Formats: sequence, structure tokens, C-alpha cells
Amino acid sequence: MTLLRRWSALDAVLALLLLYLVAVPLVLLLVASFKPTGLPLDPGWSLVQYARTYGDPRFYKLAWDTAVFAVGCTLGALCVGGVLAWLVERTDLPFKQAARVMIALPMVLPPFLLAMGWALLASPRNGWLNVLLKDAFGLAKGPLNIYSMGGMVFVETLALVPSVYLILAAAFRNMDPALEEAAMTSGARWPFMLRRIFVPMLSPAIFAAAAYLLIVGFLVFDVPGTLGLPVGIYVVSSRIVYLATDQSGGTSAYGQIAAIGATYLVLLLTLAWAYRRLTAQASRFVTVTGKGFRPRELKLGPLKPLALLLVLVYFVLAVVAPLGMLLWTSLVPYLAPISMEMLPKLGLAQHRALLDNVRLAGAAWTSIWVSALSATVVCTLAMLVAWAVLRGRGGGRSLIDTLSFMPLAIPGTMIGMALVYVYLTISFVPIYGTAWILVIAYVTVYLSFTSRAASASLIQLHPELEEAARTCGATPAYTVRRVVLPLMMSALVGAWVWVVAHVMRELSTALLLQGDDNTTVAVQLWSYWAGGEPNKAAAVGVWLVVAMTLLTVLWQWLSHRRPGTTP
Amino acid sequence: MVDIRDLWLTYPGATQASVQGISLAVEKGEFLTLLGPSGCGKTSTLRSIAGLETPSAGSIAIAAQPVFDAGKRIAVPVHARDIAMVFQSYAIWPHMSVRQNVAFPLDVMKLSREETRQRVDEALDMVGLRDFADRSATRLSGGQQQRVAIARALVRRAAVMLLDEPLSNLDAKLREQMRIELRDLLKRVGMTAVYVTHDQEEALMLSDRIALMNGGRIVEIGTPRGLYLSPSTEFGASFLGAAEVIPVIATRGRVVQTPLGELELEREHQDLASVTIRPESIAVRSVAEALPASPNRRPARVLGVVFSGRQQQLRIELEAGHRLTALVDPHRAYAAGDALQIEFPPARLMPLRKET
Amino acid sequence: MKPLFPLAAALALGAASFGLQAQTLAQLAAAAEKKPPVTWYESSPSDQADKVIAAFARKYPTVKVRHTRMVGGNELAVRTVQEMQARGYSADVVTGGADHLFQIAERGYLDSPNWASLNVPKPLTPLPQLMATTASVYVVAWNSNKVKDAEAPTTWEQVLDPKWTNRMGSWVRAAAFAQLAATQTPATAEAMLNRFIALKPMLFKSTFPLAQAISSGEIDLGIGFYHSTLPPQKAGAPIKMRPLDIVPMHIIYSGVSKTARNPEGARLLLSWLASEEGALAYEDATGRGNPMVAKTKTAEFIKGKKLSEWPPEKSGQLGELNEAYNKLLEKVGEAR
Repeated sequence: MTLLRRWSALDAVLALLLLYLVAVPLVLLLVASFKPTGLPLDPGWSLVQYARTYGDPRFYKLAWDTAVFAVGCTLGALCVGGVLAWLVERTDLPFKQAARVMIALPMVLPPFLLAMGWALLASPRNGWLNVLLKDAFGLAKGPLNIYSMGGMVFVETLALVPSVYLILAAAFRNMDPALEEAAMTSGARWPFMLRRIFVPMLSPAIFAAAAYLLIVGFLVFDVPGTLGLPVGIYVVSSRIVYLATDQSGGTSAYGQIAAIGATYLVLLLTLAWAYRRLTAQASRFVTVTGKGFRPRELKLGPLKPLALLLVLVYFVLAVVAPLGMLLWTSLVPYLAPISMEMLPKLGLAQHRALLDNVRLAGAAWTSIWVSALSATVVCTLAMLVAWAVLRGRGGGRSLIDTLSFMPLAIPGTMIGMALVYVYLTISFVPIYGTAWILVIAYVTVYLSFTSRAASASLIQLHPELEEAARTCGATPAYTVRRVVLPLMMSALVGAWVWVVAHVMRELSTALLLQGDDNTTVAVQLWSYWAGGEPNKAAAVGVWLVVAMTLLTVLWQWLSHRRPGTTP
Repeated sequence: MVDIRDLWLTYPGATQASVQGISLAVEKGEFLTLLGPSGCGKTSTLRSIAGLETPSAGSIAIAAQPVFDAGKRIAVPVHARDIAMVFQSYAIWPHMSVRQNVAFPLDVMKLSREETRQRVDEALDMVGLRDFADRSATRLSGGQQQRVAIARALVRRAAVMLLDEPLSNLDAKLREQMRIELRDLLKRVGMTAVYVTHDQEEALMLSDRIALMNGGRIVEIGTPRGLYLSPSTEFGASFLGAAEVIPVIATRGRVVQTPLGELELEREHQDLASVTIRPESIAVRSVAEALPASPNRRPARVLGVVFSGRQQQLRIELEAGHRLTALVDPHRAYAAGDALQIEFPPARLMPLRKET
Repeated sequence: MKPLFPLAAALALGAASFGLQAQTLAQLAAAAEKKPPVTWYESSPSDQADKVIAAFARKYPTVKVRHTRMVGGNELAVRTVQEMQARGYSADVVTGGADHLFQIAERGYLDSPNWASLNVPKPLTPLPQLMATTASVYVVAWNSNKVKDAEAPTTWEQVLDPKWTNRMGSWVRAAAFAQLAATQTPATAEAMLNRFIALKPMLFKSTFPLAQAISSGEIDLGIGFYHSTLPPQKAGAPIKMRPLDIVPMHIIYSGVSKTARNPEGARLLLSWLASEEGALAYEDATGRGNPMVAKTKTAEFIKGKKLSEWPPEKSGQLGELNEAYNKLLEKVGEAR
């Protein structure tokens, strides 16, 4: 059957590509976990890594603390991100353009800079906010302590909101008001509608966001490392980083990392299975039918100033405040709290020095082209994966779906290490130590998020829009080009910008894959900070944020100008 | 134009086939409707013709070209079939203007700009939307969107147009208006059409022939008049319009024995299962009228009246407690309790044989 | 199968290297010039390494060196092993902590050059494959606004005084105490560590942010490194430091790979680093000096003090102690 064969070809190509990108690190991970030395190519098999990891009672306290942290910031980000997305997409909030930029902007701030900024703001002794509050209210001790589980959850939530916002905003934007109107005319009030209409209709998007957040919460290091480690609060990721860098005895640590990674895989496969069950009845969630509508906007009336205030508060907490601290840090000669004494010492020396910094310029160029290329490749791949899984009929669909979600479970360090092995071995492909290996790593790492975003967007398109095109004589490829892609474009562009922002700020994988000339801005920034030059790092950080802000503003402006589709 | 032979379609995971051995031939220029209740397989059949579903067995040919043949392993993809389709949800692309929507099939064919423009204008004229050409598709009302969908289907000049309940989402008034327009338009262009609907009034108004479907099979097929006035199955009688079904206890030539007593038919019959009569065919007279004797007349009493402008529905009770509904013109007022004489004109009693 | 090839290559080149012994430095330079650049894995930030290499280039303008930063000793070890296993060669020169270099040497990857011919004094090479290059030296650092100089500790006993509770900072690794155990016995060191933990120190991923936190006054004092306390000091922050009565330290060693692609250049680099000129240049650029080269500021800083460190061959024991002590230090969270 000619039609079936053509579908399967796409399935086959995608499946092979994904197997290569995903299965190789995965296999290396599993093999390493069963090696006594933790290195996949060493001889012998053993369960010692598992014994060491799971036999240690401290691991379970660790897992519990991690779970608390992950669930905390998942709920936090879902609530804040959900409310903000709803305000922007479903109410008559004024200054929507500005609001969109303000909410998406925190993406550009590397999480460890965000954490550092907040440490400077709310550290118990010297934090600027604490000093202000102490003086203002005559307190004995500063009331805020960012070095705590609460502080960690707070800052990580701030960092995660943009990702949640992107997913949920796209879903909100595409909801057919007829569905709500039907509920309203049956006498339903808003709380009821929320529970029985909105939440169920949006459940694939919400679930996708929640699943992603949970996994990230379990894996992320920067914030818990900066805010938890100093006071002895550890999460699994800090254990992984400790194993990778601080534990003496060197190589065996990687085996334990692999053993931990194995658990994540199980957790992730469960989440992925649940997600697929939920979205199997994809037709239940179709909301874009081409019947044409304008999304119904709730009138805020007297609540408008309050709503604007909410957006503003988020922006201040997530961007302005930490950025302000960074700016201050970039202007002082050494790390010091804001005080009158320091004022005469302010200077632009660090900023001026950036202009002559040749290494930094090279790193900037590397970051730019690696992020642009990775984003383009991964978004294209994500779109194809979403289409094959949701519209295809071949048997390879569930395999492709699972493979595309899996990289999320593999710690970035593992993916990095695996890639080192692969490209050292097939040395006729000379990408080891170059920036190309970074591109492959980032495509693998960010495939999960982008394929979820693409799926969430595609799920909302009524299949009849594509069927209509086919009955007009369009081949599947032509249909994708003229119907599917334009309608998915806003979600795909959003994902593209997200990937660029994340690549620009990504640290652990870039560090591992460092070669002779593939230093990125994030790596350079971090090496200044960790190497005793926080002021230089702050200066670089400030300009990084400025550049990414310009990009985000440009993106918002462009997407608003495109005619026809909902922006 | 469309030749379907012994089509079977079972969806994966289903215990029963949705289409069970359908055979159908649609003539060139004919407007054929697939009519039936939900789940009868009419949409599945239509989508199989389009190629959006792949049948399990049988064959389909469009304009004498085989597009599907299970035995010979032929399955022509959707985009290569000489069809045009109008969907229930209109499926207008929100990111394109009206003109771009209608021009889409021509873009696929890679026609010149000039020719595309010409044909799009022509199609838009036919549906009366020429002034809306450059409007964004999202700024149209339901009816306008449906017309765009029709224009898009027309512009392709395909061999057959497939319509899947295209008017179901419109309000009643608009629907009535569009029905006539649609039929006139298609006839004018000489288009062969296969139409799917569950609305029997619509089917009667629009079709040259109706294929009545139930449970995946074609129960009856015929012209609207033929099916309405002389159905050969009970399902046909009661689905297409309303019908009062009177079971037959015994048949003796022209007379049948029923729970309402003996009734005389127009002709001789054998082995009837029931006779039915349309409510509007039941003759209603006042008790006062003097009438010649008739075997099919009975006294009755009015139980209730429903006035709906064009007609009145009378709920009537006969002597033995049997109840029927009759439709009469609106001019005379009736009240509950009125005594009447009702008659079943022999020519109007439709005989139904036992279904084997 | 895999390990055999690099091993064979290593043996072959190892045999060849004996022939290099007798060459003078000038001959080495001439030979190195014709070969690919010397690859060097080391942990300094790139711009600091650039300065070191620039200084080297002033002495040997024809020998090129390519530095790659390896963050954290584990990465160095893993990367070297991975590369040797996968393609048979890694960096020409590797510089890292005793335990990591020892592991690499144990796998047979490092060569044993004739150090004497390279003008490297015997004390710098406790093992034939390893040459002491620099060191991380532990100091006590304090914020001069919060702690008067007279008050600041001079001995370990003073460091462990309960008056420093909630005012102390430390590296997240308890490596200082592990090194103390080399001269004070493990039992004593562990007792000291427990008293230290009772001070509820604030933990830092590396000693650089530790020094920064002392400068900003977030903590009053801490146990850090000499070279990581220098930067804020140079920038004018109110931070001071001094060595304690017993000075634990980590000597950083360098080794030459058996399958180095520019073995002459590699030896030249190490010879230069061990010389006064090279050691001073390295210290200038990175802040870390070679304590065994008398003229370096680091050597002067610890002059006369009692040093405490495990020798490289005892790396296994050091590793176990590190593990155990790190575990203890983690309990700071509970102490709070």
C-alpha cells in the first residue's frame, strides 16, 4: 500500500536517528553502572555501583529531600506560570506585549547567576534585603534566609516559570471559546468551569509541563548547589556533581552516577507511559478546528492594576532584583554588599575590560552559532517527531515517542561522557573537542522539551484541517508545509528561542565536552566566577542578559506582526 | 462515476465491522445521499471513498479508475484521487485568507497565477463571497465559512464531491436556505455528489437517490419519492419521515386483519408483516359529516393538539385504546376530547412484507 | 583487545624515550620544534594559562603549547583514561592532584623521564613518573573588619575554639583534615574534624567563593587556600590570611604521557616549570607557587612551618580518609 509505506519511511528514519542520539548514551549509562570501575570500556561486571548507591541509607534521605524540592518547585512553577499564562492569554490585561517579554525573560539568566543574585539579596547576614528590613523595622536578625529549602524552591520556581508559561500560554491561546460558552450556558460558574472544563481540556499541556518540571527538579544542580550546599542541604544532583568532581578515587564515581541515572530512567519511563495514555485519546483535546474564533477574554475590570502588579512583581523578583545585584557586583572591585562605603569604589573597569577580551569574543561567537544551529535542528526534529507520533499510523510511533522523551532522564554529564566515548572511537568523524560535539549534545538534551512543546501544539490542531488539504490534492509533505507548519509556527518559534536561551546558559555539559576551542560564554562566565573573579563574571553575566533580552524582545515583536494566525 | 463493490471496513480494535459489505453505484451528475442514524457507517463509507480510511475488503472506483482494491492490493493515496471534500467542521485554515483557502487546490496543481485568480473568483461568485475574498478566514460567520469550504471544493473541478454533514453546524433558517442553494449550485455545475446526513428531511430535499443505511449495511435505496411513499422495510418507513406502524395478524387477499380491526388495501398481498401510514395521510373528519361507508373508517377521540404553524399534530385515541398521531392543516381548531372520524385511505396504506 | 594496542605503542615509545635521556635542553627544543604543539591538561583558567604559556614562549619561542582546562581532578583522570582506551593517546603533559596522577601512573600511562638531565632536583620527584609543579596550601583567612588581627587564629587549636561558631566557612571537602591525618594520626584528625563541624561552618563549592564570602563579610573567617585568597586581597578587599602551626597542603604533580606526540616538548615544559624562572612565572599567573622552589612567594609563605601531606603512593589511604571525612562534613546540615 503506497500510503502506508510512505509513513513508515519517516518512522524508520526518525527511529534510527533517535536510537543513535538517545540509545547510545543510554547503553553506555547502563553498561557503566554495571562496571566495577564505572568506565564502560573497563573489564569485568559487578553490582557494586548499585550496592554503593542504594545500600547507603543517606541516599534515601537525599531522595526524599530531592522529592520535596522537585515537587515544591513543580507546584510553584505550575501555579505561577499558569496564572501568568492565563492573565496574558485569556484576560484583557493591558500591555500584553510587554508582559510576554517580562515573563519569558528570566530564561536568559543562567540559573547559577540567578541563585548568586538572590544569595546576595537574601543571605542571612549580608543580604541587601535583610539589611534593609533590619534597619527599617529595627530587627535583631535579618528575617530572610535564602540558604534553606524554602529559598531553593523559591529561586528554582522563578527559573522554571518561563518554560511552564510557554507551554501553557500556547494551550490557552488555542482554546475554542465555544467549549466554555457551552459550559457557561449550562449554568456553570468560573470555579466549576475551571475544575470541569479548563483543567481537563488542558490536561495534556499541564501534564507535559508537570512531567518536564518534575524531571528537571530532580536533575537541576545550579540552584540547590548554590543555595543548599552551603548549609548542608543536599539533593541527588548535588550528589551527582559531587561524584563527578569532588569525590576522590576519581573514575569509580561515574559508575555511581550511572546507577543513579538508572533510577531516573525508571521514573521517566513511568511518566512517559502515563503521558502517552493520557494523550492517546488525542481527539478529546482538539481545540483548534479552523472553525475560526477569537479566544474569549475575561474582563478584569477593577482587577487590572492587581493583575499588572502580579506580572511586575514576578519580573522584579526573577530579573530586576538579581540583575541589579549582578550589576552592582560588576561595578565593585571585590564581592561586597551594597553599602555607602562601597560607593566611591564603583567603576566600569570590568566592563571596559570585556571589550579587549579576545577569548570572550571567541566564546561569544561559539555560543551564538552553536545555539542557533542546535535550536534549528532540534526544533525541526521535534516537529517531525510530533507529527509522526500524533498523525502517523506506523508501528514505530510509541518507540519514537519514548525515545524522544528519554534524554531528559540522562544527566547531562552522562550524555557528555557518552559522546566523548563515541566520538573518540569513531575518530574519522573529527568532531571530538570541537563545538560540533556540543551541537549533538544539545540536540539530544533539548529534544525532550521541544518535542513535548511541538506535541502540545499539534494535539490542538483538528486532523480535519490536514485531511481537507489532502482532499484538495496536497501530498503529506505539502500539507505539512502549508497547513501544519504555519499553524504550529508560534509554538515552534517559542521552542527555538527557549533552546537558544538554554544553550547560551548551559554549563555542565559544555564543561565536560570542553576541548581546545569550543568554550562557550557560559563556561567562560563560570570559570571567571569559580576562579576567583566574580566581578568579571558578573560583568559578562550582565551583558549576556542584555543580549538575550534583545533577542526575546525581537521575537515577541516579530511574532506579533505575523498576519493571520494567533500570535 | 463512483463504483463501490462489497466494501468492508473494520476499525482496529473494534469487535464489529463499521461497514459490512456495501455495494453502490453513483451515476454521473447524480446527487446521492447516504442517510442513516449515528454509527450506521455512512461517514466511514464516505471517508473510504475519499481515502481517509482504508477498508478491509472490497473495491472502489472513481470515474472508472480503481482507487481501492483489496484483492489487487491497490490503494491510491488521498491526494491522488479525483475528489473534493467538504467537512462538517468546514476545516477552513485560520492562517489564510478566503482567497488563499479557495486557491489552495489550484496551488497544489501549480496553475498559473492568472488562471488561479480566475477560477477562484469564479468559485467565490458561485457562493456569493466575492467581496470577502481578502478577508482573514477567522473573521467569517459559520455560514460564510461553509461557503468558503464549498467554493474550495468546487474550484478543483473534481469528478465527485464528497460532503460530510456540511450543514449540521448551521442554525435552522440558514440551513434551510443553504440546502436549496447547495443543490442548485451543484446541479448547475453538473457535479456528482455523495452526501452524508442523518437529517431525513434534508436527504429528501436534496437527493436524486437516497441510500438508507443501518448497522453498516444499505437497507434500502431509491428515489426520495419512492422511498417515502413506498418503503419496503419498516426501518425505511419509520426513519424516513414519521410513520404509524400497524402490525398485521393475517393477510387475506386485499384485506388484512389488524389489532385495529380489518383494513382494506389497494391490491392483493400475501404474508404481510405490517402496514404503515404517514400521519399526514390519515383522513380526519368531524363526526357530524355524513360520509359513504368505508371499511377503513373508525371513530376516534382527540387526546391532544400541537400547533406548529404549517400543520397541527393531533394525538388520537381509537375505540380499542390504540393511539396514533395524525397531521392536519392548521385551519380548523381542535380541542382535547373532540369526537372524530378517521379513515385510512387504502391507497395510502403502505404494505411491508416480513423481513427475512 | 582494546587495551593491548595502546600498551604496545606505549612500550615501544617507552623504549625510545631512554634514548632521549642524554639530550640537552637545547637539543630537546630543536626536536620539539618539529613536532605538533605540546598538549597540556591542567586546571587553571584559560587566561591564566595563557600568561604561563606566554612566559614559556619567551624562553622557547619555537615550541608551541596548547592548554586545555580540566575542571576538577576527576575529570582529568576520566578523560585521560577514556582517551587512552579509545584512541591510544591523551595529552602530552597532565597536571593534577596526587591521587589522580597516581591513578594514571598506575595504569601505566606515564613515562619516567631522566629528571636529572632536565635539571629537576630529586625532592621534586617522589615517584619516577611524577614531578611536583605547584601546590594548594591551606591558610586561615579572616575579614579584617570583623576580626582583629590579634584575635585571628594562629594554631589549629585556636581555629577550633567554640567562639567561632556560626562564623566559620570551609570548603565542602574535608581534605585539609585528611591531609592533617598524615602527621597527626587519623584518630586525632577525625576528632579535630568533629570539633570543626560543631562550629557549623558554611560550606562552599570551592575556596574561591569562600574567600569572596569572607571579603563581603557573610562569614568572619574560614579555612581556604593561599592562591584563592589572593584575588580579593589584591582587589583591596578587607581580607587577610596566615598559615597555621601545621600547614596541610596538596602538591600538584605533572607527568609526561608515554604516548606523547611531542615528548621532547613535554619534557622541556616540565623542566622549565621546575626551574626558578618557570615556577615564578607560573605563580605570577595563577597565584599558586611551587613550595619546593625556594624563591616562590608560596615557599616563603610557609617557610619554617610544619607541613602535613600524604605521599603520592599512599593515595589509596588518602582517598579513603577523604571519603570518610567528606561524609562527616555533610552532617553539618544536621548540626544546623
